[in-house]
Amino acid sequence: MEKKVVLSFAPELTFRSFMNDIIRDYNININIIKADIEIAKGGKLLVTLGGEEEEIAAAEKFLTDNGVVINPMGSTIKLNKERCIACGACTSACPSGALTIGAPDWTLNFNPDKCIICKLCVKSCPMKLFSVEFAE
Amino acid sequence: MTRSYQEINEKIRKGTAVVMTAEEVSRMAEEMSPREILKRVDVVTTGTFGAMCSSGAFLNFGHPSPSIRMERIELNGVPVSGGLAAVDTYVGATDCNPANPNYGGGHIIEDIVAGKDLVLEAWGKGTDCYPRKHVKTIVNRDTLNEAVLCSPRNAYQNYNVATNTTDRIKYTYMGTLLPHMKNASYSSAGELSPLLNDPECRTIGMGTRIFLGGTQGYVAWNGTQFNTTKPTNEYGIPIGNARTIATIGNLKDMSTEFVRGAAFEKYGTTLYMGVGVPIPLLDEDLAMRVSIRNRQIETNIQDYGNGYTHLGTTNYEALRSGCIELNGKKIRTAPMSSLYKARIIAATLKEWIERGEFTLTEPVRPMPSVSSVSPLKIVEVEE
Ligand code: SF4
Ligand code: SF4
Repeated sequence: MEKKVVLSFAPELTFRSFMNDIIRDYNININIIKADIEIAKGGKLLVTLGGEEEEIAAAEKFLTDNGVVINPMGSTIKLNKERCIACGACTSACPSGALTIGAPDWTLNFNPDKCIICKLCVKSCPMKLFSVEFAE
Repeated sequence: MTRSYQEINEKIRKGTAVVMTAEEVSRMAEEMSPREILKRVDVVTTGTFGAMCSSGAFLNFGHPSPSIRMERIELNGVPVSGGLAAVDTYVGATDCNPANPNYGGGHIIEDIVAGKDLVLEAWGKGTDCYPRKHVKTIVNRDTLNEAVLCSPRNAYQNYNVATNTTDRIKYTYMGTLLPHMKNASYSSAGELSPLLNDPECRTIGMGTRIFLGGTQGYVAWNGTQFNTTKPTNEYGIPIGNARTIATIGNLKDMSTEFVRGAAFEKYGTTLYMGVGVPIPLLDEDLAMRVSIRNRQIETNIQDYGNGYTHLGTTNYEALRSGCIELNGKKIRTAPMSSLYKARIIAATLKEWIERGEFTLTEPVRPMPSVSSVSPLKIVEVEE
């Protein structure tokens, strides 16, 4: 079978060669459709994973166990900014640097380009202002 | 030189009082001595906007006909206290219905402030004097006879920094703590924080008029867990959570800008409250206290993954920089309380005083000069 997914990498994960690992250890054919990733900065890969169903599941488990985030294509994080109190709780959780808060004005900044869709902000916002959207 | 409450209030009435926020005065203090600051400034305003779990409100619904002695009460499906007479209740910020963990007491309080309709359902056993056994109806801010915010513990003087040394994510009231100390969260407003600007509560006591949730409220008492025994640093600042205030004010006059229900993953619901306290500069000592800067305010770093173990100390200048160092390891930091809102609160209070709408009150009763916090002893209970 073949499966199309987005793999998202936090900055510190970009130093490792996950693709080689899953080709070698899990017998997966990887086809990278789109790469938007930089060493030490993090980013995303749009890939197809080819192989037996169990092999793909095992490879996905290996990746998530190591901190790689796997999402269906086209999912994005939406923020209802109007109700934001600028507490910063989401920035504390955000591992990618997509959510930041700081001097001088201490209001929330959201840079969706950096988002790896790990969904930690969805759980962490005390006002519950984040949601995951699936749109192509 | 000293100054009295009466002199300050006279100036406020005449519109000549000089009011500054704690941040403004801390910046002034980079170049000026406390003596000069005392000469120039009459009042300093403070502010904080953060999760204050020990908050709540008394409500009175009015009597239906025939009347009921409400023993079990639900508001929007959330069970609230049935332990008061007939048609009174107390909604605590953390009241919740486990079936709907993201809506609780804090949200009910916000919805009352917002003027939204709430479903009230209550049950009683039916007594000779209160024959009704059940009632279900709609209530809102305007139908409630009273809605009084009355919170036993608000505005903690300083607070711990939370991090997590374990290898698992911890969801806490200090937010999401990533494994291996990948982040640390802090919650005090630092140099803007009310009780850090008068660390011994010389001017804050029962009856002190304050900014509470967008309107004028009062300090009702010393807050629970009021602790004068925390070690202080060379600037007289207690390191870690120390004093607190109990607050009271009319919920109906408050604003959802400064009263917000909240839910922490796996913890429960709470209330984000805006509190601001004016500090009268009566003498040089107080002028020195309000001049304290973020780098002089220290606090403990604790391991929330491992029984609050003490890991080290840091200060608010370092915390605000976005990164602290602990035993050679760099840890990313982020706030849990809103400095943005805290600044609005201090600025609003300043404006009220400048416009002569808000005068200062001398405490009716001072805070305890010695008070400590004991743990709960677990003793054998005979059946
Ligand atoms: S999902 Fe949220 S927490 Fe995760 S990277 Fe995106 S913005 Fe940050
Ligand atoms: S956690 Fe929610 S309310 Fe707080 S800054 Fe982030 S989006 Fe805003």
